[in-house]
Amino acid sequence: MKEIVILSGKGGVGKSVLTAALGWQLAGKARVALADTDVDAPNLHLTLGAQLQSGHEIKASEKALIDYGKCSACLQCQETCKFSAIIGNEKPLVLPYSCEGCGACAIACPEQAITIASVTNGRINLFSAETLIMVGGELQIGESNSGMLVDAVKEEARLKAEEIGAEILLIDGPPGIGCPVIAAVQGADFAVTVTEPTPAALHDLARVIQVIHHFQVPVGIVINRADLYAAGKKAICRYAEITTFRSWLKFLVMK
Amino acid sequence: LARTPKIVGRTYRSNLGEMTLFTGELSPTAEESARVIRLLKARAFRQAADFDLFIVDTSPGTHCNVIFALEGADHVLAITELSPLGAHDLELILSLLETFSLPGWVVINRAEISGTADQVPALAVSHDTPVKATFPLDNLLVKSYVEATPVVRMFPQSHCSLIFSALAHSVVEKLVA
Repeated sequence: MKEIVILSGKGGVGKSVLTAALGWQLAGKARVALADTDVDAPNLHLTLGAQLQSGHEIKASEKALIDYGKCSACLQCQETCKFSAIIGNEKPLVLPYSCEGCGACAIACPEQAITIASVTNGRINLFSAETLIMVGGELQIGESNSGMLVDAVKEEARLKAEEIGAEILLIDGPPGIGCPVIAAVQGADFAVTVTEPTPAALHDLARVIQVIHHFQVPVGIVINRADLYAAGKKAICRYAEITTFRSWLKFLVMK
Repeated sequence: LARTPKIVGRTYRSNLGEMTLFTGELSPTAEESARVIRLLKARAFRQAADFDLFIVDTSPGTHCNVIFALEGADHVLAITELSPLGAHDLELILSLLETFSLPGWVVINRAEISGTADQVPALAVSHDTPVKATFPLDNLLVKSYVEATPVVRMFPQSHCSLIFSALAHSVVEKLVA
Protein backbone atom coordinates (compact mmCIF):
# COMPACT_ATOMS: atom_id res chain seq x y z
CA MET A 1 0.00 0.00 0.00
CA LYS A 2 1.21 3.47 -0.90
CA GLU A 3 0.64 6.48 1.33
CA ILE A 4 0.17 9.89 -0.31
CA VAL A 5 0.02 12.97 1.93
CA ILE A 6 -1.45 16.30 0.76
CA LEU A 7 0.09 19.45 2.27
CA SER A 8 0.24 23.17 1.48
CA GLY A 9 1.91 25.22 4.21
CA LYS A 10 -0.67 27.97 3.79
CA GLY A 11 -4.27 27.27 4.72
CA GLY A 12 -7.22 27.72 2.38
CA VAL A 13 -5.44 26.94 -0.89
CA GLY A 14 -7.35 23.73 -1.65
CA LYS A 15 -5.91 20.76 0.25
CA SER A 16 -9.19 19.12 1.18
CA VAL A 17 -10.85 19.83 -2.17
CA LEU A 18 -7.87 18.24 -3.97
CA THR A 19 -7.81 15.25 -1.59
CA ALA A 20 -11.53 14.61 -2.09
CA ALA A 21 -11.33 14.94 -5.88
CA LEU A 22 -8.28 12.65 -6.04
CA GLY A 23 -10.06 10.17 -3.78
CA TRP A 24 -13.09 9.95 -6.07
CA GLN A 25 -10.95 9.85 -9.24
CA LEU A 26 -8.62 7.15 -7.91
CA ALA A 27 -11.51 5.08 -6.56
CA GLY A 28 -12.34 3.87 -10.10
CA LYS A 29 -8.75 2.73 -10.65
CA ALA A 30 -7.61 1.36 -7.29
CA ARG A 31 -8.88 0.53 -3.81
CA VAL A 32 -8.58 3.76 -1.83
CA ALA A 33 -8.79 4.71 1.85
CA LEU A 34 -8.59 8.29 3.11
CA ALA A 35 -7.44 9.93 6.33
CA ASP A 36 -8.08 13.45 7.61
CA THR A 37 -5.15 14.56 9.76
CA ASP A 38 -6.16 18.22 9.94
CA VAL A 39 -7.32 17.44 13.47
CA ASP A 40 -7.70 21.14 14.37
CA ALA A 41 -10.33 21.81 11.75
CA PRO A 42 -11.18 18.49 10.12
CA ASN A 43 -13.45 18.92 7.11
CA LEU A 44 -12.43 16.36 4.50
CA HIS A 45 -15.77 14.60 5.17
CA LEU A 46 -17.53 17.76 3.98
CA THR A 47 -15.57 18.05 0.72
CA LEU A 48 -15.89 14.30 0.16
CA GLY A 49 -19.61 14.22 0.86
CA ALA A 50 -19.12 11.42 3.41
CA GLN A 51 -21.41 10.28 6.23
CA LEU A 52 -20.32 9.55 9.80
CA GLN A 53 -20.45 5.82 10.56
CA SER A 54 -18.94 5.55 14.03
CA GLY A 55 -16.48 7.25 16.33
CA HIS A 56 -14.70 6.93 19.64
CA GLU A 57 -12.78 9.11 22.07
CA ILE A 58 -9.01 8.80 22.15
CA LYS A 59 -6.37 9.45 24.78
CA ALA A 60 -3.51 10.68 22.59
CA SER A 61 -2.18 13.08 25.18
CA GLU A 62 -0.46 12.93 28.57
CA LYS A 63 -0.71 15.50 31.33
CA ALA A 64 0.72 16.08 34.81
CA LEU A 65 -1.83 15.51 37.59
CA ILE A 66 -1.13 16.93 41.06
CA ASP A 67 -2.34 15.15 44.20
CA TYR A 68 -2.96 18.18 46.43
CA GLY A 69 -3.20 15.85 49.48
CA LYS A 70 0.54 15.21 49.09
CA CYS A 71 1.61 18.58 47.63
CA SER A 72 3.63 20.79 50.00
CA ALA A 73 3.40 23.79 47.64
CA CYS A 74 7.20 24.09 47.36
CA LEU A 75 6.68 25.01 43.66
CA GLN A 76 9.77 23.10 42.50
CA CYS A 77 7.57 21.71 39.73
CA GLN A 78 6.99 25.23 38.48
CA GLU A 79 10.74 25.93 38.30
CA THR A 80 11.37 22.64 36.51
CA CYS A 81 8.71 22.99 33.82
CA LYS A 82 10.27 24.20 30.57
CA PHE A 83 6.86 24.76 29.00
CA SER A 84 5.65 27.33 31.57
CA ALA A 85 2.71 24.96 32.05
CA ILE A 86 2.58 25.24 35.84
CA ILE A 87 1.35 28.53 37.30
CA GLY A 88 0.11 29.69 40.72
CA ASN A 89 1.69 31.35 43.76
CA GLU A 90 0.20 29.46 46.71
CA LYS A 91 -0.20 26.08 45.06
CA PRO A 92 0.84 24.80 41.65
CA LEU A 93 -1.77 24.66 38.92
CA VAL A 94 -1.22 22.79 35.63
CA LEU A 95 -2.34 24.55 32.44
CA PRO A 96 -3.65 21.58 30.44
CA TYR A 97 -3.12 23.18 27.03
CA SER A 98 0.55 23.96 27.81
CA CYS A 99 1.48 20.67 29.48
CA GLU A 100 3.39 18.31 27.16
CA GLY A 101 3.26 15.42 29.65
CA CYS A 102 7.08 15.18 29.68
CA GLY A 103 7.15 14.18 33.35
CA ALA A 104 10.01 16.45 34.48
CA CYS A 105 7.81 17.90 37.25
CA ALA A 106 6.97 14.40 38.54
CA ILE A 107 10.71 13.66 38.89
CA ALA A 108 11.42 17.02 40.53
CA CYS A 109 8.57 16.78 43.08
CA PRO A 110 10.04 15.89 46.50
CA GLU A 111 6.63 14.68 47.76
CA GLN A 112 5.92 12.38 44.77
CA ALA A 113 2.64 14.24 44.42
CA ILE A 114 2.66 14.36 40.60
CA THR A 115 1.73 11.59 38.21
CA ILE A 116 1.59 11.62 34.42
CA ALA A 117 -1.70 10.31 33.11
CA SER A 118 -3.24 9.77 29.68
CA VAL A 119 -6.09 12.15 28.96
CA THR A 120 -8.75 12.27 26.29
CA ASN A 121 -7.80 14.94 23.73
CA GLY A 122 -9.95 14.05 20.78
CA ARG A 123 -12.00 11.64 18.74
CA ILE A 124 -11.36 9.33 15.83
CA ASN A 125 -14.29 9.04 13.45
CA LEU A 126 -15.04 6.65 10.61
CA PHE A 127 -16.87 8.09 7.59
CA SER A 128 -17.99 6.51 4.35
CA ALA A 129 -19.19 7.69 0.96
CA GLU A 130 -20.35 4.88 -1.34
CA THR A 131 -17.22 2.73 -1.76
CA LEU A 132 -14.83 5.20 -0.11
CA ILE A 133 -13.90 5.02 3.56
CA MET A 134 -12.26 7.79 5.54
CA VAL A 135 -10.76 7.92 9.02
CA GLY A 136 -10.73 11.40 10.55
CA GLY A 137 -9.29 12.84 13.74
CA GLU A 138 -10.87 15.62 15.74
CA LEU A 139 -8.99 17.51 18.44
CA GLN A 140 -11.09 18.38 21.47
CA ILE A 141 -11.50 22.15 21.84
CA GLY A 142 -8.88 23.59 24.19
CA GLU A 143 -6.75 20.44 24.07
CA SER A 144 -3.19 20.01 22.82
CA ASN A 145 -0.84 17.33 21.44
CA SER A 146 -2.31 17.37 17.96
CA GLY A 147 0.84 15.62 16.69
CA MET A 148 0.12 12.54 18.82
CA LEU A 149 -3.50 12.59 17.66
CA VAL A 150 -2.32 12.66 14.02
CA ASP A 151 -0.17 9.57 14.72
CA ALA A 152 -3.22 7.83 16.18
CA VAL A 153 -5.38 8.74 13.17
CA LYS A 154 -2.75 7.39 10.76
CA GLU A 155 -2.43 4.18 12.75
CA GLU A 156 -6.18 3.59 12.66
CA ALA A 157 -6.41 4.57 8.98
CA ARG A 158 -3.65 2.06 8.10
CA LEU A 159 -5.53 -0.70 9.93
CA LYS A 160 -8.78 0.18 8.14
CA ALA A 161 -6.94 0.39 4.81
CA GLU A 162 -5.42 -3.07 5.32
CA GLU A 163 -8.82 -4.43 6.27
CA ILE A 164 -10.31 -3.42 2.94
CA GLY A 165 -7.14 -4.29 1.02
CA ALA A 166 -6.54 -0.67 -0.04
CA GLU A 167 -3.72 0.01 -2.48
CA ILE A 168 -3.64 3.74 -1.76
CA LEU A 169 -4.04 5.67 1.47
CA LEU A 170 -4.67 9.36 0.78
CA ILE A 171 -3.85 11.56 3.76
CA ASP A 172 -5.24 15.11 3.95
CA GLY A 173 -2.66 17.04 5.96
CA PRO A 174 -2.91 20.05 8.27
CA PRO A 175 -1.78 23.56 7.28
CA GLY A 176 1.48 25.01 8.60
CA ILE A 177 4.80 23.24 9.27
CA GLY A 178 4.45 22.42 12.99
CA CYS A 179 4.07 19.16 14.92
CA PRO A 180 0.88 17.87 13.25
CA VAL A 181 2.46 18.40 9.80
CA ILE A 182 5.62 16.58 10.86
CA ALA A 183 3.44 13.72 12.13
CA ALA A 184 1.42 13.69 8.89
CA VAL A 185 4.44 13.58 6.52
CA GLN A 186 6.43 10.90 8.34
CA GLY A 187 6.32 7.56 6.59
CA ALA A 188 4.55 8.84 3.46
CA ASP A 189 5.59 7.48 0.06
CA PHE A 190 4.79 10.74 -1.74
CA ALA A 191 3.79 14.26 -0.76
CA VAL A 192 1.52 16.36 -2.96
CA THR A 193 1.74 20.06 -2.14
CA VAL A 194 -0.96 22.51 -3.19
CA THR A 195 -0.27 26.19 -3.73
CA GLU A 196 -1.69 29.21 -5.53
CA PRO A 197 0.15 31.98 -7.42
CA THR A 198 0.32 34.45 -4.53
CA PRO A 199 3.43 35.56 -2.63
CA ALA A 200 2.07 34.27 0.69
CA ALA A 201 1.23 30.81 -0.68
CA LEU A 202 4.64 30.39 -2.36
CA HIS A 203 6.43 31.52 0.82
CA ASP A 204 4.59 28.90 2.89
CA LEU A 205 5.01 26.25 0.18
CA ALA A 206 8.81 26.65 0.29
CA ARG A 207 8.73 26.17 4.06
CA VAL A 208 6.63 23.01 4.00
CA ILE A 209 8.80 21.57 1.20
CA GLN A 210 11.85 22.07 3.44
CA VAL A 211 10.11 19.89 6.03
CA ILE A 212 9.18 17.27 3.40
CA HIS A 213 12.80 17.20 2.14
CA HIS A 214 14.00 16.69 5.68
CA PHE A 215 11.98 13.47 5.87
CA GLN A 216 13.23 12.50 2.37
CA VAL A 217 9.74 12.09 0.99
CA PRO A 218 9.41 12.68 -2.79
CA VAL A 219 7.26 15.70 -3.50
CA GLY A 220 5.20 17.28 -6.27
CA ILE A 221 3.50 20.66 -6.62
CA VAL A 222 -0.08 21.35 -7.74
CA ILE A 223 -0.93 24.95 -8.67
CA ASN A 224 -4.50 25.87 -7.84
CA ARG A 225 -6.22 29.01 -9.21
CA ALA A 226 -3.41 29.07 -11.78
CA ASP A 227 -4.84 31.96 -13.79
CA LEU A 228 -5.07 34.25 -10.74
CA TYR A 229 -1.73 35.97 -11.37
CA ALA A 230 0.62 35.21 -14.25
CA ALA A 231 3.78 36.52 -12.55
CA GLY A 232 2.95 34.45 -9.46
CA LYS A 233 2.60 31.29 -11.55
CA LYS A 234 5.99 32.00 -13.13
CA ALA A 235 7.50 32.44 -9.66
CA ILE A 236 6.23 29.00 -8.62
CA CYS A 237 7.62 27.41 -11.80
CA ARG A 238 10.97 29.13 -11.20
CA TYR A 239 10.98 27.90 -7.60
CA ALA A 240 10.17 24.37 -8.81
CA GLU A 241 13.08 24.44 -11.30
CA ILE A 242 15.56 25.70 -8.72
CA THR A 243 14.43 23.07 -6.23
CA THR A 244 14.43 20.15 -8.70
CA PHE A 245 18.13 19.40 -8.49
CA ARG A 246 17.84 18.39 -4.88
CA SER A 247 14.61 16.47 -5.01
CA TRP A 248 12.25 14.50 -7.16
CA LEU A 249 10.11 17.49 -7.87
CA LYS A 250 7.46 17.20 -10.52
CA PHE A 251 4.67 19.59 -11.08
CA LEU A 252 1.33 19.88 -12.63
CA VAL A 253 -0.87 22.83 -13.44
CA MET A 254 -4.53 22.63 -12.45
CA LYS A 255 -6.71 24.86 -14.63
CA LEU B 1 22.38 14.58 31.24
CA ALA B 2 21.91 18.29 30.80
CA ARG B 3 19.26 20.41 29.15
CA THR B 4 20.70 22.82 26.63
CA PRO B 5 18.95 25.51 24.63
CA LYS B 6 18.41 24.88 20.91
CA ILE B 7 17.45 27.35 18.19
CA VAL B 8 13.93 26.51 16.98
CA GLY B 9 13.06 29.77 15.27
CA ARG B 10 13.58 33.50 14.94
CA THR B 11 11.70 36.62 15.81
CA TYR B 12 11.90 39.82 13.80
CA ARG B 13 10.91 43.42 14.31
CA SER B 14 10.30 45.66 11.33
CA ASN B 15 8.99 49.18 11.04
CA LEU B 16 6.30 50.06 8.52
CA GLY B 17 5.55 53.76 8.78
CA GLU B 18 3.49 54.22 11.92
CA MET B 19 3.22 50.50 12.49
CA THR B 20 5.68 48.05 13.96
CA LEU B 21 5.58 44.44 12.84
CA PHE B 22 6.78 41.61 15.08
CA THR B 23 7.19 38.33 13.18
CA GLY B 24 7.79 34.87 14.59
CA GLU B 25 9.24 32.17 12.37
CA LEU B 26 9.63 28.50 13.23
CA SER B 27 12.67 26.79 11.73
CA PRO B 28 11.41 24.20 9.24
CA THR B 29 11.59 20.70 10.82
CA ALA B 30 11.36 22.12 14.35
CA GLU B 31 8.15 21.39 16.27
CA GLU B 32 8.16 24.10 18.91
CA SER B 33 5.86 26.61 17.22
CA ALA B 34 4.01 27.39 20.46
CA ARG B 35 7.33 28.39 22.08
CA VAL B 36 8.10 30.77 19.22
CA ILE B 37 4.69 32.39 19.65
CA ARG B 38 5.15 32.80 23.41
CA LEU B 39 8.61 34.32 23.02
CA LEU B 40 7.47 36.59 20.20
CA LYS B 41 4.55 37.88 22.27
CA ALA B 42 6.83 38.38 25.28
CA ARG B 43 9.22 40.40 23.09
CA ALA B 44 6.43 42.52 21.63
CA PHE B 45 4.70 43.11 24.96
CA ARG B 46 7.92 44.28 26.59
CA GLN B 47 7.48 47.32 24.35
CA ALA B 48 3.74 47.58 25.04
CA ALA B 49 4.07 51.14 26.33
CA ASP B 50 4.96 52.30 22.80
CA PHE B 51 1.67 51.12 21.27
CA ASP B 52 -2.08 51.65 21.61
CA LEU B 53 -3.07 48.43 19.92
CA PHE B 54 -1.61 45.00 19.24
CA ILE B 55 -3.09 43.04 16.34
CA VAL B 56 -2.13 39.37 16.49
CA ASP B 57 -2.44 37.27 13.32
CA THR B 58 -2.90 33.63 14.40
CA SER B 59 -2.34 30.37 12.59
CA PRO B 60 -5.39 28.48 11.36
CA GLY B 61 -6.96 25.77 13.49
CA THR B 62 -7.67 25.52 17.20
CA HIS B 63 -4.56 23.93 18.75
CA CYS B 64 -1.88 25.26 21.09
CA ASN B 65 -0.49 27.77 18.55
CA VAL B 66 -3.87 29.41 18.28
CA ILE B 67 -4.50 29.26 22.03
CA PHE B 68 -1.16 30.94 22.79
CA ALA B 69 -1.85 33.61 20.19
CA LEU B 70 -5.26 34.29 21.78
CA GLU B 71 -3.91 34.30 25.36
CA GLY B 72 -4.45 37.72 26.92
CA ALA B 73 -6.50 39.12 24.02
CA ASP B 74 -9.11 41.79 24.75
CA HIS B 75 -11.09 41.09 21.60
CA VAL B 76 -11.08 38.53 18.81
CA LEU B 77 -12.02 38.80 15.13
CA ALA B 78 -13.07 35.43 13.69
CA ILE B 79 -12.84 35.46 9.87
CA THR B 80 -14.94 33.02 7.89
CA GLU B 81 -16.67 32.51 4.57
CA LEU B 82 -20.23 31.42 3.77
CA SER B 83 -19.35 27.86 2.79
CA PRO B 84 -20.03 24.66 4.75
CA LEU B 85 -16.27 24.48 5.41
CA GLY B 86 -16.25 28.07 6.67
CA ALA B 87 -19.23 27.42 8.95
CA HIS B 88 -17.72 24.17 10.27
CA ASP B 89 -14.39 25.77 11.23
CA LEU B 90 -16.04 28.95 12.53
CA GLU B 91 -18.04 26.88 14.98
CA LEU B 92 -14.80 25.37 16.30
CA ILE B 93 -13.17 28.76 16.80
CA LEU B 94 -16.29 30.22 18.45
CA SER B 95 -16.32 27.22 20.85
CA LEU B 96 -12.68 27.92 21.62
CA LEU B 97 -13.52 31.57 22.39
CA GLU B 98 -16.26 30.36 24.75
CA THR B 99 -13.84 27.98 26.46
CA PHE B 100 -11.48 30.88 27.18
CA SER B 101 -14.25 33.47 27.78
CA LEU B 102 -13.03 35.76 24.99
CA PRO B 103 -15.41 38.28 23.41
CA GLY B 104 -15.28 38.82 19.68
CA TRP B 105 -16.84 39.61 16.31
CA VAL B 106 -17.37 37.52 13.21
CA VAL B 107 -16.10 38.88 9.88
CA ILE B 108 -17.43 37.30 6.68
CA ASN B 109 -15.18 37.15 3.62
CA ARG B 110 -16.12 36.24 0.02
CA ALA B 111 -19.76 36.83 0.84
CA GLU B 112 -21.01 35.81 -2.63
CA ILE B 113 -19.88 32.20 -2.13
CA SER B 114 -23.05 30.97 -0.54
CA GLY B 115 -25.05 27.82 -0.61
CA THR B 116 -25.47 27.69 3.11
CA ALA B 117 -25.78 31.44 3.45
CA ASP B 118 -27.75 31.32 6.71
CA GLN B 119 -25.47 28.92 8.61
CA VAL B 120 -22.81 31.50 9.51
CA PRO B 121 -25.15 34.26 10.78
CA ALA B 122 -27.04 31.62 12.81
CA LEU B 123 -23.76 30.49 14.41
CA ALA B 124 -22.86 34.10 15.19
CA VAL B 125 -26.21 34.52 16.96
CA SER B 126 -26.06 31.24 18.90
CA HIS B 127 -22.50 32.00 20.10
CA ASP B 128 -23.39 35.60 20.91
CA THR B 129 -20.66 36.93 18.59
CA PRO B 130 -22.05 39.61 16.23
CA VAL B 131 -21.19 39.76 12.52
CA LYS B 132 -19.31 43.05 12.34
CA ALA B 133 -18.27 43.23 8.68
CA THR B 134 -19.06 41.45 5.43
CA PHE B 135 -16.65 41.58 2.49
CA PRO B 136 -17.77 40.83 -1.07
CA LEU B 137 -15.55 39.06 -3.58
CA ASP B 138 -13.49 42.01 -4.81
CA ASN B 139 -11.12 41.76 -7.77
CA LEU B 140 -9.16 44.76 -6.51
CA LEU B 141 -8.50 42.89 -3.25
CA VAL B 142 -7.16 39.89 -5.20
CA LYS B 143 -5.08 42.22 -7.38
CA SER B 144 -3.45 43.89 -4.40
CA TYR B 145 -3.00 40.57 -2.56
CA VAL B 146 -1.01 38.98 -5.37
CA GLU B 147 1.18 42.12 -5.52
CA ALA B 148 1.77 41.83 -1.75
CA THR B 149 0.37 45.31 -1.11
CA PRO B 150 -2.55 45.90 1.27
CA VAL B 151 -5.71 46.82 -0.67
CA VAL B 152 -6.25 49.84 1.58
CA ARG B 153 -2.93 51.24 0.31
CA MET B 154 -3.22 50.22 -3.34
CA PHE B 155 -6.94 50.97 -3.85
CA PRO B 156 -8.06 53.10 -0.88
CA GLN B 157 -11.40 53.92 -2.52
CA SER B 158 -12.33 50.32 -3.40
CA HIS B 159 -15.48 48.81 -1.89
CA CYS B 160 -13.59 46.53 0.46
CA SER B 161 -11.18 49.30 1.55
CA LEU B 162 -14.21 51.26 2.75
CA ILE B 163 -15.42 48.24 4.73
CA PHE B 164 -11.93 47.85 6.25
CA SER B 165 -12.02 51.51 7.19
CA ALA B 166 -15.40 51.11 8.95
CA LEU B 167 -14.13 48.00 10.73
CA ALA B 168 -11.00 49.84 11.90
CA HIS B 169 -13.24 52.62 13.17
CA SER B 170 -15.30 50.09 15.17
CA VAL B 171 -12.12 48.59 16.65
CA VAL B 172 -10.82 51.99 17.73
CA GLU B 173 -14.19 52.89 19.21
CA LYS B 174 -14.38 49.63 21.13
CA LEU B 175 -10.77 49.27 22.29
CA VAL B 176 -8.78 52.47 22.02
CA ALA B 177 -10.98 55.53 22.45
